[in-house]
Amino acid sequence: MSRHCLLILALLALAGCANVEPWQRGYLAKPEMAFDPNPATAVQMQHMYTSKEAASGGYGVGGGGCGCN
Amino acid sequence: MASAGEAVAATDKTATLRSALQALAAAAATLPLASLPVRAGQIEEAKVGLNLFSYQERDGRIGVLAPTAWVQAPVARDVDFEARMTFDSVAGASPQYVSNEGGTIVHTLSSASIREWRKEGMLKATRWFGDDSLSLGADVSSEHDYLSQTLSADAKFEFLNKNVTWAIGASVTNDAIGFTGFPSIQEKRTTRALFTGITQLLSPTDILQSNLAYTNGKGYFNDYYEYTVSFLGRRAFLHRDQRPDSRRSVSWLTRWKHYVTALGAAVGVDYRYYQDSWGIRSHMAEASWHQPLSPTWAVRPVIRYYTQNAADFYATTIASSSGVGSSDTRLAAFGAVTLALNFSARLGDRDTLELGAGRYVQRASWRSGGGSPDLPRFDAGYAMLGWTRSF
Repeated sequence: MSRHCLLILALLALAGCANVEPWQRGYLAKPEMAFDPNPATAVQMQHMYTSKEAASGGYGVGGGGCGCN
Repeated sequence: MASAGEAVAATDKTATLRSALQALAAAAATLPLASLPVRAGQIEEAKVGLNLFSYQERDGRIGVLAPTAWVQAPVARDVDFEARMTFDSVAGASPQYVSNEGGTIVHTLSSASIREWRKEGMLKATRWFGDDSLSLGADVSSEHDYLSQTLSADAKFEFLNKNVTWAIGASVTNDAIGFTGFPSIQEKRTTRALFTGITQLLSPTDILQSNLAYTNGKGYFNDYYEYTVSFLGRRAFLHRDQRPDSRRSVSWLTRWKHYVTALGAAVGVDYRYYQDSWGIRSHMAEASWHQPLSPTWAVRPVIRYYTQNAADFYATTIASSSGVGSSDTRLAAFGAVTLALNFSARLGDRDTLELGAGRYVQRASWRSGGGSPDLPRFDAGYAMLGWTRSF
């Protein structure tokens, strides 16, 4: 766990040095670069995993509970 | 030494070159910006979508058909609106009890096939304040024996020339749990959640997001319909599923996306660590590759690996008729793999079609270090069809 934390913190620290200018963000604005290109599909996949696994969360707030878990 | 005339000519050339470069820079700055959102995360155009999700477990277990309709749209200059409605139809048999009667652990499904419906509705409104935003959301999920209601709020702030987005949020979920055949009995559970996350641009082709979520739930967590039958010597114990009346969890999700300019492809890698007060520790890693095949079609294969250890109170033999204990396989130690293949097609300027299928498999042996003995194999498949129209 601590190794994972250090790696992620190191990435974030390195990221803090980056400066991407607005005119350099063409690739980042492409729909396929969105973390969840289709919100409905993402919700359905998370719902399936939540009903079969003990772990969940990390994607944001909101979303209802369910008798399936 | 250069003459005065040459110096003037050189100055003129420099001025002309500077002017040309300025014009070029202005044009270059204008072109890509035209395709960028004015504010990160803001809904720039209205979209409506229909999704049909079909899920089927092997061996006659649960099958789900879930149509979803959704819309997101800017309703005023500084206000966005989102809504989603899902209707789940659930049919099949679910795990009912675990017994060691024959000398080996056997997981038995309910003899009667169930058929249930679940309705879920979500509303969310976002108000923009310059580059920052505040969202309020409500979510209701209703079944014949379960009602879940969630209120949520989150805010996003832009920093460092919009290279960094900081998100914070909170939610409260109130669940009312009923029991088939006992309409007068109702249990309750309240779960409070806190969330924070950073999204950082790493380069013109890389973006990283790291989110931390904490939940604190109190109330009824038992699965009333599951029980464990244990034969120990000449004694037999029937134990109804009973879990602690509180659960605290932490999830840490980190996501990275990279655009491969040479191939026009987008690569995604997610990792999540989870732990809770029931003794469960879990790791999840997922990788995807979005590859355009033509101006119309794209393919996105996905592979996901998940692993968890067992809850402190998970057991398949319980020498008691009361007390905390559960044989629910979802609290066991196992590993799981998802393989999926998704296709998307752009139909004209306004329509997008998506279709995909995947297989989800759990095995005790797929957990590093070994899983829970006697855990049954679990296989499920799913298919998805989606249509989105932009306005």
